[in-house]
Amino acid sequence: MSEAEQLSQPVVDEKLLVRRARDNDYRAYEQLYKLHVGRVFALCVRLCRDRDMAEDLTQEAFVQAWRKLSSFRGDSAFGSWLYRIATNTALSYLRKQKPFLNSLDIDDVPETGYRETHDEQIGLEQAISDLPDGARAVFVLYSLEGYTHDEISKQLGIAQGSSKAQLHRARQLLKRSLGAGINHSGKSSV
Amino acid sequence: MADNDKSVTDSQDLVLAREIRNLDPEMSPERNLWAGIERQIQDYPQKQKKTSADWVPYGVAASLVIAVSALLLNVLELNPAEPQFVSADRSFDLMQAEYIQVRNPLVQKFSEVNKELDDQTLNDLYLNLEIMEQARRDIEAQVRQNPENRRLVEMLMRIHEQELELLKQNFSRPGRFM
Repeated sequence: MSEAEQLSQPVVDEKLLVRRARDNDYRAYEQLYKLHVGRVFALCVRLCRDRDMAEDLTQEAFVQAWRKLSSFRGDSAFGSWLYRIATNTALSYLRKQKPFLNSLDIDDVPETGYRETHDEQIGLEQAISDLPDGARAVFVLYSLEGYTHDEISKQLGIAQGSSKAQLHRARQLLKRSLGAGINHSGKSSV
Repeated sequence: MADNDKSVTDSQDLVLAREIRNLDPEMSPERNLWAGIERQIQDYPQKQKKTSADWVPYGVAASLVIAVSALLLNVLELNPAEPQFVSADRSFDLMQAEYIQVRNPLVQKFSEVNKELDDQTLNDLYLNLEIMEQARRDIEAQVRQNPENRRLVEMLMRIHEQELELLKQNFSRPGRFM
């Protein structure tokens, strides 16, 4: 959303919407849904790569948030609280997938099969999607969602060192994938 | 050659950082997800939290019953006067003075102690306090008309206790007293 579009948006009192939702005002919760669905869905797509599954996870995250709404104390923004629930929902799904669990082991990160793009520039979105599961999860949580390695290690049940290694691997792969952009800027590629 | 490699790595880092900054934080799902969410959440209505002020309406109702009973007692004069060593008027005045001395500081502290409450709850509490105060005044009026009626005086003492208990309650911290 552009700055001009943001300025033209009506000011929404999110705390009021939360309070009304707690009083079983479904329309208020729908407003909260509309405010945050884009971000929650993007998070789920990037974590699980499958758009259909991401839609199911998004729904599940909003239902979970509704059930836990009475425990939301308002110490943080509603959005931050909701994104944590969405992250947990998506990771809970991923943890049940064997390929994902295997990919968390840094020794098992495959080098082959990753898109080589020396002669074709692709967008970062596609490059993230092409990352191995473990590296992608750590990259999304650390670089896009602002989690620390300590938090990621607890969420994924891995050592902090593994989280750092997965992030390094993700960044290397992404840089390689985006390499064509450097070529366009006139600098030599590796 | 090494300088050239470092230059490439730096450029790649810059490109990656720029791409991350430009990444759209939002995506739109193709399906309308709200319908499914609404259907599911309607099976789980929010439970309304019970507050420590929930007993107040019962207290107010009890006070009103006491006030009405006092009126009836006074009218029917069920309790005959007993011999008193101190005049009943004087005794009543002393009791009132003692009560006011305890009550007033609590009233002043009440809004301060409960300032963390939201406006709606605070207003409800003040409304209940006003109702109890009105009940107390009604009984006081009855006692003044018939100061030797011991049951009326006992009722007044009981409502004094209830009012003081409400004033001592810290509703910002459920379960604790001031």
